[in-house]
Amino acid sequence: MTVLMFWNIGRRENGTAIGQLCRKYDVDILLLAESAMASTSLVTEINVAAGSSRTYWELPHLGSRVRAFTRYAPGFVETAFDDGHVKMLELRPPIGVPLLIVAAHLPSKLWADSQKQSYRVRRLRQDIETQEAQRGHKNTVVIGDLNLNQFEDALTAADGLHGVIDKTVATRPPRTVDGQAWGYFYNPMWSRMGDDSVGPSGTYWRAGSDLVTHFWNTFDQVLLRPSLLPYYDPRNLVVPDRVGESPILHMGGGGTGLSDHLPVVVALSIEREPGHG
Amino acid sequence: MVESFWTIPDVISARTPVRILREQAAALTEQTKGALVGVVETDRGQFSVNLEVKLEISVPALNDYRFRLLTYHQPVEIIYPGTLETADGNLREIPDENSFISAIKAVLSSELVKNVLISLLSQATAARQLTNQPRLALGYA
Repeated sequence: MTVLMFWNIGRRENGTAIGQLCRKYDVDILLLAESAMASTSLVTEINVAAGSSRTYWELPHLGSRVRAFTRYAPGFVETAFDDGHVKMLELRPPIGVPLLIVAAHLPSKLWADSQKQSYRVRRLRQDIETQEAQRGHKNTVVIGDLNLNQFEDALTAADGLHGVIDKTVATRPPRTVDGQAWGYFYNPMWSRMGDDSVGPSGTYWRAGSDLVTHFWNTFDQVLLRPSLLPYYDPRNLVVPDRVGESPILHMGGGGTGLSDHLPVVVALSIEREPGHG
Repeated sequence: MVESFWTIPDVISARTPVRILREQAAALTEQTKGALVGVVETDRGQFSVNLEVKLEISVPALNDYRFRLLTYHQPVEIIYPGTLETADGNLREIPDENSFISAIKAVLSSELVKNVLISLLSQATAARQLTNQPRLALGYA
């Protein structure tokens, strides 16, 4: 099982809390946004709290908005792409199929209107397809703070991520629009919305004064290419809302929470095909 | 002396799944001279009340990379019947101790596990050789 965790920590550096979550969910690859703490200090705090003989180390930071840490030995994970907002990692684990991990922290709605956000997602799709072509596989998982809800056009449009609500739809042949075929992503975060879903109602809370306010948003997401669906079990997608007994969100008051975003954790059983090791 | 109504089970000599798996874990560690380390852990299942007894291979040369060979989902109140989940995701019902031992033997001698051992041993050996090379060979002046 390869376990990925993404967390926008909102500049509230807390290596101990991060390490506790790594320990709880047995995280293999940790991806952080809005984190500026010096690498040595942060890695030390995480490793102490994670308390495992498998130590985490940080991949080259490159001034990116997304930082990547792993406990795979060097050589099994490498940075494939980094444009500042998106970091792509190629994982070739000792046992199992390779993964293209796309970790993103896309521009905030505070600074980018919907046209800009759509443009950014279209670029993301192009960059993903370029990497998939170079690497010869489409075992791609997108994970990150996309600053978009799963129902917004940028994520559902064919020329966006084409993220769909249903696995059966995701495995259909690419959809042709105006003569061009567009492959899908499956977006399991549709099943993590609202108070009757598993876990919290979203990943980001904002009680705004605008006419339209969703309160709960699911900006932090996981999307999977259909080729990864055999390795995905919905029970292995988790949105933790507390670290130990401490709620993560401050919910707009007091600033006592650990971040304004919740983490997302997904485990993929990619080692089930050992011939690819 | 007060008459005791308790019937205390003999757990010291009982060959529980944990004990059987620990024996196999130790055998792996010994036979590979520590290149691969067998690890047995018991947890409460995340989505059920069962216990999960896991047999994993740890590879010290690969930053203790772990590969899970199998999980025995054991009811809390009894040892058998339980369910054995193997690395390929297959599940099988285990009615008793003999069946457990037969199933473990079949899994550990399977082609899948053989391929895993070959892969991990060769990668562990390569990693150790790289670590043991003189510094000049790594390009340091």
